[in-house]
Amino acid sequence: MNFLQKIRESLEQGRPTAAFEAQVETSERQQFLDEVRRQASVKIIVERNGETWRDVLLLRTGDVQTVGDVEPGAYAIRLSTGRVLWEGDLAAEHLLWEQAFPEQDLPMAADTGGSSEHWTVRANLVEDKLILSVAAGLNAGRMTLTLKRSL
Amino acid sequence: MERLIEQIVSAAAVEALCEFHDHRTIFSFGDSSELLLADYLSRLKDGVAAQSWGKHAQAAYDLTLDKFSRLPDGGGIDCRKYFRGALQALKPVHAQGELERELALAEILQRLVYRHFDLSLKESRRNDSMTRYEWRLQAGTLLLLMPRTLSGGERSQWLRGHVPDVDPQRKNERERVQAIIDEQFGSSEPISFDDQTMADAVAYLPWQLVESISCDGLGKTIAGEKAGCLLEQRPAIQALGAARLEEMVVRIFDALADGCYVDGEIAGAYGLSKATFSRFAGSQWSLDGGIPDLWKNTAKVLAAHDEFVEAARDAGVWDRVVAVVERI
Repeated sequence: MNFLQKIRESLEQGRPTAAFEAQVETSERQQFLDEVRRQASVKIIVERNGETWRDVLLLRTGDVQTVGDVEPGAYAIRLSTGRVLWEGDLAAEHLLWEQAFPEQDLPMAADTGGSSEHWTVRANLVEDKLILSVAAGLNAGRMTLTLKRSL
Repeated sequence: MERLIEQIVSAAAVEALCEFHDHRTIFSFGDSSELLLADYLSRLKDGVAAQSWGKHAQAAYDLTLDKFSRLPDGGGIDCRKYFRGALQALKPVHAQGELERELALAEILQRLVYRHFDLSLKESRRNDSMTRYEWRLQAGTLLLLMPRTLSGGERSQWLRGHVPDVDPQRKNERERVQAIIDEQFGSSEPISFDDQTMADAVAYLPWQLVESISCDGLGKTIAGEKAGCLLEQRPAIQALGAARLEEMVVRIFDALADGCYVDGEIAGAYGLSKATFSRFAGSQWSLDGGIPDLWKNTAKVLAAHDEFVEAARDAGVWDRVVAVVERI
């Protein structure tokens, strides 16, 4: 429990970074910090064909998370508050490289780097702060959710 | 959600009210998140049921649900008043982004509904000391609540002496007379927000707690927040009451600071079983058992502290965290 006391001291002294100096790794400490991350995250729920499929946790202060194995279907993206942010069909032409870019070879993994020219779907979910991007792959697509830092 | 609430307040829009109650999962209770308002109230009701005042839980549930679901039909409860309160509490929040405001409003509504459940419980308990009395007058009868301690004759005498210009046929006359009775005999607990600002009514919001850490320290901040949300605690912790709970949490943090935190010692001092205390603030826990309630609370407060969150990220403590979860 020493880690909690260290966190307490660091915050009360106005030095949050000190909470992570010279700390012993314990399972309780890691679980506690994982809980902080969970609570500090915006939860996005991805539904596929009417059923909840994936939960994505985006750190409130700015984060990018990617969901793989995106297959054709009807998708909805919802905030954990219940508000629907986006709905749409993702078809093979959005998710399979061969159909999305028939004239181009599939780039090597090292070459992709999230280049915008390869997005097949791009949508602002909330102003320009929360963005959905869909990329095509060999057998399935990838869905990337970006929460910009200003939140 | 802000636009949705504005539609309820300004246009009494039934569709907006239905959307809020049927689809907006903004509430959380214990390990359950993404709850609708009725589900959250149901958990509060069940949590209170084990207490000595548990028989009032259903009445508190009904009254609170009415406060947030009834549109006026010529009188009575008007949910617009309570939703308007939530929008007023959002005004001082310096959140410019739509997403930030949505999340802030969700926190405000959770605290507001909790506060009203607490007040509804107090009102129901107060009404337990009152019984019905039919005040028969020439022009009609008024059905009132009056203290048990007064006999029928005493009630009639008191009313004649304290209620001027009574007219049973006048609109809202019953409410006017009841207000006169309540002012004399009612509880000292405030049960109406009419004279209270929303800033006073809605407390323990995450950004308020972060400010409090600087002034009062982490231990006192967490202690105050725990005591302020007493009805969300496990039954054995609720039974301590707000003051003892706050005292116990301060003692826990002080023991941590002194390096002498012994679970059994504090549990015994407050009459809690080792199992109960372990679930509340155990110093060790397993992956399966989950984080004890107090530390989960502490994590929530820290999660609202942007500098702490950034420091944790920069320290790489979350490098291995899986942030995408497949639902089974």
